[in-house]
Amino acid sequence: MNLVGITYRAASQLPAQFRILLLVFVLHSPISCLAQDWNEHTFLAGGFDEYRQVRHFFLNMNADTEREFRFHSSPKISIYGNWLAIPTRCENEGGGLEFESQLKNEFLGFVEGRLNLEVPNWWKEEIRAFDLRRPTNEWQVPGMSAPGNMQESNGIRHPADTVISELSQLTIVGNVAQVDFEIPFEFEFSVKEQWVDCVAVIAASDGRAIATCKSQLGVRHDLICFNSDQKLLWKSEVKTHPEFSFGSSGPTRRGFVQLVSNGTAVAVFGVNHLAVYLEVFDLESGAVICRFSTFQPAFEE
Amino acid sequence: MNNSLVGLILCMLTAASGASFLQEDEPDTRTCMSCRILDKWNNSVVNCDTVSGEVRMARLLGFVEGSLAMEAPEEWRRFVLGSVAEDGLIDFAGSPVPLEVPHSTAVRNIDGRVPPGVEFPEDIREKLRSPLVAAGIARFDGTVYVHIRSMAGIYGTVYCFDEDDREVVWEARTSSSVETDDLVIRTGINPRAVEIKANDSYVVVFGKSTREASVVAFDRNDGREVCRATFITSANGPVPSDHEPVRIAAGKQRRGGKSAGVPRTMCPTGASST
Repeated sequence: MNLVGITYRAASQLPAQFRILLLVFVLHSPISCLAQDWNEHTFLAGGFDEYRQVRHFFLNMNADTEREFRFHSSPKISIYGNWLAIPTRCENEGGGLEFESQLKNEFLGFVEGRLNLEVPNWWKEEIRAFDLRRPTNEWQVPGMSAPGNMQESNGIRHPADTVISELSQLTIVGNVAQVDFEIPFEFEFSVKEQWVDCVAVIAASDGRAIATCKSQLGVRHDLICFNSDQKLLWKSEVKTHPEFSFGSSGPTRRGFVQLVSNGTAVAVFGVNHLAVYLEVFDLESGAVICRFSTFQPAFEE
Repeated sequence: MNNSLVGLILCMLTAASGASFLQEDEPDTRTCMSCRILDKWNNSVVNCDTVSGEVRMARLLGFVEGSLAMEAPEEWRRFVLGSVAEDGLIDFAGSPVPLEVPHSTAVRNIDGRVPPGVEFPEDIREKLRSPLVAAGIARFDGTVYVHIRSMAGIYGTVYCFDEDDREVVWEARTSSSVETDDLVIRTGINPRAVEIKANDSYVVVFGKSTREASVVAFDRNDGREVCRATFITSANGPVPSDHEPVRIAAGKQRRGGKSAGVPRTMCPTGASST
């Protein structure tokens, strides 16, 4: 295990206040130079390395690297780059709130074009409403635009007191197929938990279905793909947040998640108490294509 | 007699190639970049009245950039965003951005603004000597892409050549005035000003005129056309696109090797999207 890994593991055992102090120390130490040799693989892996890489690039961005970042061949890096460049471009080009709004709309178009996906309207509103001038480790209240019902989405706002028997009767009507299925055991187990916040299910081709279950506890949730025989085909983790892998403490947090598929990939559009996020997975294998989260640390240091 | 025979053979070849077109699969709208961009134009700009013109055009611009993984030229960006009038209508004729070719990649002629270090093949050099052409140049990874278009505005051509040996690898026509296999003359799509850019996947020609903005993209390696999208406006606002696959027959040929002039649709199934 490398030094970063050891540090990360050690940090995860510490109380939150000490973790922040340790993080500041590490980011100011020579260890941070390791982040310069980033690549797509480590970027997609998420976690501590990614946190440092994003920070490193943000702090060292000039006109050339900004363009390299924004139009990188990796969708993840280019999407992150376009998001992170918004405040810089506002500052450099002297634009105010109107210009920032334009750049956010360009960003939304960029996401759609880059990933070949239709972005849900509520997620667009979340992005437009996001205050880029405040670091997200300060309290913001994302989720104000998330729908409280199913009117526009195939996501299911699932109250915590719903029993599993209701979920097992789900019928999903897709564009081309109607799929009746039962929740696989692994997923059923998590849905039975009392802290379930939101469940989203979408039909895929060949009678398969993709589902995710977001809990009020923690920030990560699983995305699973299963067939009509309830056989689990693949399972991936929706990280939602680049920094820490463990659950949050304190009061329970609500959020919303919606799945969108373009036939080759499935996207998880979500919002929780920390961030507005988007993660895209290959429909066949569940491999990560892209991860994006508005959560970024304080950059002013 | 001979002429008639040649004509007959040509007709038969044309018919045969036309039959092969008919047998091709319908373009996959999930992967056809032209389809996706024009769908975005139709659905999010032309037939969208829930958001302002600024929002619509910003999203279209972002969509084009995201699809191509390329930043649009600054002048083209301003031209597109500037097409929104104060009353919210979208009309390229009202854009305050001039139509001249002011960009840094412009090459007026061979004696004018030529990027240092670029040696042109002799025939391209000859074309550039003419005062009646406007040209743009893009360089990427040891390859030079030159777009030359007649000032008379009939058509333009993109030439791709190696920077070291100056051998032309491919050339492709950018004008859509004569672009179909049956030589049907199409009107209107004739941008007055163009800029060319390249990244590791595509060579893209961005065009603009008083009534339209256009994007034509080619595969950087073989000149295969992967996208052709034109956004047209009138004084009454944006005009819906009647997008259909257009057969490109005369657009491309490879020099000094096998002919690569196989007719193809502009919506090649499987064109990369993500």
